[in-house]
Amino acid sequence: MADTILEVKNLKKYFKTNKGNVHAVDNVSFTLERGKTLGIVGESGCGKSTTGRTILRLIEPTSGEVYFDGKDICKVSNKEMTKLRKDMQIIFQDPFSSLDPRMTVSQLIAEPLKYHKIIEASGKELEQKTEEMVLDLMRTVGLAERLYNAYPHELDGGRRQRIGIARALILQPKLIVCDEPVSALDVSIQAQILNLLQELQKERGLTYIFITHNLSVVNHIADEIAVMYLGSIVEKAPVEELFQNPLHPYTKALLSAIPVPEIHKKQNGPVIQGEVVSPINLPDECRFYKRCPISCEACRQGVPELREVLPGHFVACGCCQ
Amino acid sequence: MKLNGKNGKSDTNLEQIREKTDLAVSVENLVVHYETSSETVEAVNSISFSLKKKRTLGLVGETGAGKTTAMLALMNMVPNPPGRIIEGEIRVNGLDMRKLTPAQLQHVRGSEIAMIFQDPMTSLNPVLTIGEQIGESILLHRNISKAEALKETQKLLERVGIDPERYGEYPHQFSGGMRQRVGIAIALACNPSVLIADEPTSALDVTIQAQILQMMRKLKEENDTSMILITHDLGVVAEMCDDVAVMYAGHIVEYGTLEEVFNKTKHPYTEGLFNSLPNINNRVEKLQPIQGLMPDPANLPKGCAFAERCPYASEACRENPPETHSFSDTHLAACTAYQDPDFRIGRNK
Repeated sequence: MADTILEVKNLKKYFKTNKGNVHAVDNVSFTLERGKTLGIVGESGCGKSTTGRTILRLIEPTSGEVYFDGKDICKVSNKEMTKLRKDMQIIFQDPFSSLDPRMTVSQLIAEPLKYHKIIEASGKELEQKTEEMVLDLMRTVGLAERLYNAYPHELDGGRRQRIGIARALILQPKLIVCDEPVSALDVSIQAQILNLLQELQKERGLTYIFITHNLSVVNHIADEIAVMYLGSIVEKAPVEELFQNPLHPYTKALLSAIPVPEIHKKQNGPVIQGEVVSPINLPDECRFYKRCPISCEACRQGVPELREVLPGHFVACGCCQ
Repeated sequence: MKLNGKNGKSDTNLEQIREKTDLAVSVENLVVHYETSSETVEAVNSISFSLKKKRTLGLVGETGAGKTTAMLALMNMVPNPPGRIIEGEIRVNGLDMRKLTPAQLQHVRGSEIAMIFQDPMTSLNPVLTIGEQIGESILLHRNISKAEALKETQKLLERVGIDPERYGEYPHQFSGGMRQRVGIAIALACNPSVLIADEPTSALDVTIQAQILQMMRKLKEENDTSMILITHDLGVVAEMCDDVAVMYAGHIVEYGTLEEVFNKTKHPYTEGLFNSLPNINNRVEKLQPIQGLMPDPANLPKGCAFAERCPYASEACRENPPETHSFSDTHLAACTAYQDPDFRIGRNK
């Protein structure tokens, strides 16, 4: 029996606007095993970040259930939620805007400890224990001790992202949502952070939800990948299966659009035309219908459901089912 | 707009000073510094490269490597102060860009060399319609009426894949990909023979990036344009470029044809870049990042700027600036380690 840490069922998040509801997250369901990494991939505006945040209840879902360690977190009280948050943390995308510029590195890393009153001590003892924990964690994420009293503006992007990682780790969470943690970084720094995240996962048995638009990155780090388009998961499969045998036309188009850094390795797939349609008041048909190179009649008969077509390989497409 | 017609006469002046050449761009020993009261940032340090007609040169490097500054210098557009072209020779279509008068420069920019900017969200003027922004350079450079300019604008819109009827709309009414198409239409307005594209697709989603790159390739072929493509994405380089220059801390560390730089890589930094990239065709257990950070361009070491992060560095590398070694007529690498004729980087073993 698989050890499930997270189960998401029919999660929906609609944002009300004057023009109608924005379907940011529409009927997303998946389960995630402990110690694994789920990559959520998609283009801007497909709802991947909103999904990540709704799972942590940083945004209240419109409807749906999120079971974390067997408990439906959408139904718990705020007080209980605060306790649960210790186990579920997030690393934000932009290390330049997600850190308070007026706090030092040590204050930033220690903030969650203070908020959750983790250390049961007071006065000098509390200070000393906090300092120990912060320094210990700074070593873990590869920040030099001399940066203890530095401010974020003194640091480069890679180091700032290490602070973000340290902040997420200090509460010893079980699940971390990584929301585009490397997309603001240069490639050589990006590789350093990806390696760090992988090492930490091995050491601490962490479970990651890794949100990104970069398919090469997700291919490297994830065990399983969910491809999102306009608020819904259109395909979900183990990483190798998805890259070798993509079924949904959108996944195929995404994969063939990635520029590969090798000569004559261009995956000459079709370049899909058109752009993502507005997520407001969506018609009752396949979300990808207007851009789809196949688009058969079945696609117009309502939104296709995510179905298991091969063991572990789910796809929501009228034509390929 | 009352800009038309003024610039027609500078043409003759330009032809007198133009040297005959088959190079679209040639740059020799270009040095650009940003000078402030407290420090001097050595952004571009003695780089040389050339671009043959109808070719595409990829300029690769990480943030702060000096790519954009080098290209601004090419158009003699480095913001001054604090920027200053200290020395070097810059020729575009045989014209010495540093010796042109402001009026001549204005004529050359746009009609002979034009630029596509990185961020389509901020590079367009939000209070002018896209038609006005595209038409502006047509009116400025060509002696035609407003009605004719409008027709030209609509033709351009069609070429970049935008409905010509949308010429009266404002930038905020377009998506990111569409705005970048507008940026490309502006750059193409006067059929420049040299096009500089500064990270034209970095702000776009992959499927939109694929559309834009496909379109740029098509337009380049139709117009016989020579292009310099600035990017940090080696995948985009592989798809678009004929030649590649890799920049690090203001220097070109490796320079060669696409084939040479990708398959016969010589410089340890280029190798490091390849090893840092997760490759979709070849999943590895662990990436091999380049350790450390790029040195502060305001405080460059006296030896090789990459020595501190280089796995092959010796004492000589830290003491003296790197020597340039050539491996073929077209392939250069600035690396002292090649003094030893048997030296090979890991990638080539």
